[in-house]
Amino acid sequence: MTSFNHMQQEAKEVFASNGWPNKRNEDWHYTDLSARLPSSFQNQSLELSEDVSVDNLTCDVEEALQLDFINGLLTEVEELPDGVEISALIDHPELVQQSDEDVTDPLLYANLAHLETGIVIDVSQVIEEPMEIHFHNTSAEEVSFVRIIFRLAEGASLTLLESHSGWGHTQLVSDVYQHEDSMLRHLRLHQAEDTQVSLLLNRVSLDARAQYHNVAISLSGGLGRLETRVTFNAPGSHAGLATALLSGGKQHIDITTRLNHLSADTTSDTVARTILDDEACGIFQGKVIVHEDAQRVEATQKSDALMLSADAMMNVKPELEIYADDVACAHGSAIGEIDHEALFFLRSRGIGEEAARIMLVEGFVSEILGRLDDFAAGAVLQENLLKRVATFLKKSA
Amino acid sequence: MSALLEIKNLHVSVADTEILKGLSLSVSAGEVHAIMGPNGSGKSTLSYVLAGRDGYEITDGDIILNGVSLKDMNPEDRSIAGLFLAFQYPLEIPGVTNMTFLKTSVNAVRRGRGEEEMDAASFLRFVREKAKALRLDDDMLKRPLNVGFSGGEKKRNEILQMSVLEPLMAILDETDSGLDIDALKTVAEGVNALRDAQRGMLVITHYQRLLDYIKPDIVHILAGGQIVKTGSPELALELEKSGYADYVGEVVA
Repeated sequence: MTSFNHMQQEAKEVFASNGWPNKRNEDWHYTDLSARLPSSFQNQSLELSEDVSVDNLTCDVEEALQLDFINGLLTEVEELPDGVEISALIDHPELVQQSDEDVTDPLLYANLAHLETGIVIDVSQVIEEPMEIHFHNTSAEEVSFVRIIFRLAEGASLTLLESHSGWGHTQLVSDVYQHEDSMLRHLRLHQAEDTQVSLLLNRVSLDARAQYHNVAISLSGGLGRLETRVTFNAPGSHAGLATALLSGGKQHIDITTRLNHLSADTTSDTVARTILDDEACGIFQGKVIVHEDAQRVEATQKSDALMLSADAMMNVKPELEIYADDVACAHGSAIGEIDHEALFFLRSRGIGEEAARIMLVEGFVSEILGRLDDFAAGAVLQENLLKRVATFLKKSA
Repeated sequence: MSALLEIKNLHVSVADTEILKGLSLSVSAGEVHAIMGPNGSGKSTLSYVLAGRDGYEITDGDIILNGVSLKDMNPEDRSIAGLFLAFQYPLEIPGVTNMTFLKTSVNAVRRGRGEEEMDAASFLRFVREKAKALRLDDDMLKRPLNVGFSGGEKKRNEILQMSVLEPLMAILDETDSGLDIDALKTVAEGVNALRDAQRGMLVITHYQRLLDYIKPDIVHILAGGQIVKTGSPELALELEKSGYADYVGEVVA
């Protein structure tokens, strides 16, 4: 068995020679990191500032079990409920054992090369209370390189609330292994400062009848890549990916999804709603791959973008790669402006112009927030997020 | 007694083409007026310019509601001032429930009129009662605004909005279009229930049929951007027989 240190050393060498991906890498065509990021990081100060208050930046769900990563380090962990165990990744080198593809994956080698904290979270039963994992950097100089591996046992289920705030640079790789009949509901809330860089890679592996429901909400942040890759290993597995991206200023946010249907009788549904203001740049790259033996796969993918400014830019790259012959797959994409007739209709009912715009945009993202219905604390989450959406829209109005 | 709505010598251009060419009309409180006219006579332009839609430029004349000029008001302020337009083609707004929309609208108008806003519970009671009268069930209040509604449901929903906003002056733009006879009767009943001594109505229509159910006090014929004839309800019946040819010719000549 290759040791953890050995693998990290290997990753450092790959990072030293390859650096960040650039335009020539097709997956990074729209988000050229080599032009935007430093080629090395000063080794991070590992001291925590004493009085970090991050309460108002989290998902704000009272009953959630809270895990906070401040500047890449896991601070206090509350008492864990039965059925949840956390251990150090360094004790599980087999879980990091990289495939050849992993070794050349820019987000993986960069993460491993700089890794500060790695943990494994095992969930062995149905957990009622949501678990929040919050990432926060306290200044522009701070970096967080974190890897988390989730393992959901057969029949286990969890609502995971992942939130990102603050400054600096955050790089998270989360690997999710879901065994048969397990269920993960995963909210990813990205609401960082304008200068923040967030590179978030989320890899999910689904066994028979496992269900993965992801809702990603990005409300700000300077440079972001929110990438989700799902592998369907056995029949009956399903993934639903819903993203709402609201971006303004000079932000650059990249939503990338890759759904790899290895097995027959698997289903996926991807929906992305993007709202861009000012000079923001949004990217949606969605890829569905249906392998040769994966018959009766049903996969749909839809991206809609609403442009609030003539200077904003949206890039959309939907891709279907289908090698099986008995499948039902569809994709669609639309980019448009606020509907002026709808705006007039609302105003003719006494609703002021700004409120009418906000109402239309909220309507546009409500389908995404609606996906939180079945999450633990779903109603509270929807209410909190709707307020944040309204705040974003008021700022941009 | 002065008129509730007074349209004076109204000239309106759309993209530099003059559509209304000196239209004058006045409606007193408690009256229902009908405007009939052929295609292209300016009926839709009239309803949109009254409601304040962008792109309809008033080059001359004025619109006075209850003594106040609407000319320079934006659409929301006209609504607060008491004007209501029932749309010919009500818009679908995905993701916004009918109930949320109605509550936002009613409270915006109440705020604008200096009245107290309604809390969630009293609004619910208020709107349910109004909806019941129009045979709109609770389910339609929970659905996204007009999404998946039938033609009749959309028009009844327009009348529901009118009934909760309690306007001084309602403009009904081709409310009969796209309705079968039963839906037409239900909508007309809803409108008739809202007739009262303080309220004026302007019913814009293509066909006489609607006027069998919403009986006007006065009928105007609009042709070539002007009112070319004003008369009693019998005028509508004459039109049904002889068509608009006489009036269209008059203006062209």
